[in-house]
Amino acid sequence: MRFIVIPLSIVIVFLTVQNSSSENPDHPQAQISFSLQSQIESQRKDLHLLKADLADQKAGLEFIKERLELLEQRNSQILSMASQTVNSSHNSFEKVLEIHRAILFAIPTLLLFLFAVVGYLGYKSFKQVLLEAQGRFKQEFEDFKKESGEVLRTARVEHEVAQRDARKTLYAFKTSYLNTLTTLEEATRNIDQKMTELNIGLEEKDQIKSSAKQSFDRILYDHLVQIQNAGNEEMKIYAATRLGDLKTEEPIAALKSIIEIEGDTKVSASAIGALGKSKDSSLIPYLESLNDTIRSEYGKLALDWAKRQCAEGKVK
Amino acid sequence: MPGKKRILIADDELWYTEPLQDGLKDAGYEVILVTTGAECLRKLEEEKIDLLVLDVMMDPGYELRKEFSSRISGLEIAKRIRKKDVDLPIIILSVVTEPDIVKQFRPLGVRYLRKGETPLRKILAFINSAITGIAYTTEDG
Repeated sequence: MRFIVIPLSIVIVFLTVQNSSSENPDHPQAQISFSLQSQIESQRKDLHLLKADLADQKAGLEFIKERLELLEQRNSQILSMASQTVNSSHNSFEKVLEIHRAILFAIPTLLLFLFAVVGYLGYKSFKQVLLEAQGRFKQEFEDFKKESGEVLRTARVEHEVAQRDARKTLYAFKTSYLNTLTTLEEATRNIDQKMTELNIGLEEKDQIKSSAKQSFDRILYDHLVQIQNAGNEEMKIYAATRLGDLKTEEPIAALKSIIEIEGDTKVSASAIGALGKSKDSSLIPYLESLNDTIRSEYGKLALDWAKRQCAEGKVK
Repeated sequence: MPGKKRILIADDELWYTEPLQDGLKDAGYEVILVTTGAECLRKLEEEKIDLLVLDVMMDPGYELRKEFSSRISGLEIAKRIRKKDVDLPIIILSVVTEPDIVKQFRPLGVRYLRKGETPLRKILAFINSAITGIAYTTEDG
């Protein structure tokens, strides 16, 4: 507005100066002056209008200012209220958070406590069960030990009795054999003595003695076969050795059978040695056939000795 | 031959004792073989014996048969010898393994070798060491 008023005033002053220099209304200058005056009037009116507008605008502005102040106050109040609300909400939220935290802390603690309680109770009951089971197991184990000990003792006693019985049986066979052997030896001596008393000739005497020996050896053979069948290793060895003392055909077959059954054992070695005692040269091929079977040092000693004995028999 | 050590072998398994006898003879010993317990005792009475090799399961012989059990006659003979002679070196050479019998060897001061399980050269070395008093060693250590 100021920018319009000032140039307008300058124009008016210039026009006034111009107007003062021309005094005649018909003069072009007078016409211009008139026109300018009317324009000035018009502009004055405009200025009044403008002024009124300005006043209106000022009033409007005042109103606006008031309103603004009012609004500001309201705003401030609202802000204050909002702040209070926010604070209050914040506080509430903090409280809620605290409660939440407390709950968050309390729940695991509670759970832990519950677990601990349950665990403790479980442990106690488990321990109780374990102790009871241990007690039962101990008792059962003790019972088992007692029972198995008794069973073992009984078995041991039975085993010892059986062994004793077996030994007795073997001794019985053996004693029977030895008694028979003694009786037969006594009988041989008696026969010999009787033959001397009766002045029996030497040739006849030999025949009788040989015949008696054959009969006696058959009796002894039966005894030895019994020992061989019933005996353990050492008894079998004993029987095999004694079979070699007999002068009948049966022991040869029996000894061969022992070697076949036993293979390369101590019993076989004794049986081979017993075969050698016969000095029967017809056994040489059989003994040679054992070379592949009998490989132990012990067995070979018997085999080599038996071969030598049978070879000597061939020479004789 | 004077000075020759004399060994008595009492065993009825000649197939075993004869090779043993040969080995001992080769080593310079005089060896006497007997096959019954009765013969063994008789020889000990008659001869000066430096070492006795004794079987357990041998025939006691007609004279001792009623007195001894044939099964352990060697043991009975060893017991009888020890009553008169505690110094005679005795080697039991037997197939017997029964603990009841084997445990009776120790109090008699006899040495025990298992027949059939100990090689002949080891038996010879053992006898040699027992008779000479030199510690028993073999090439096996």
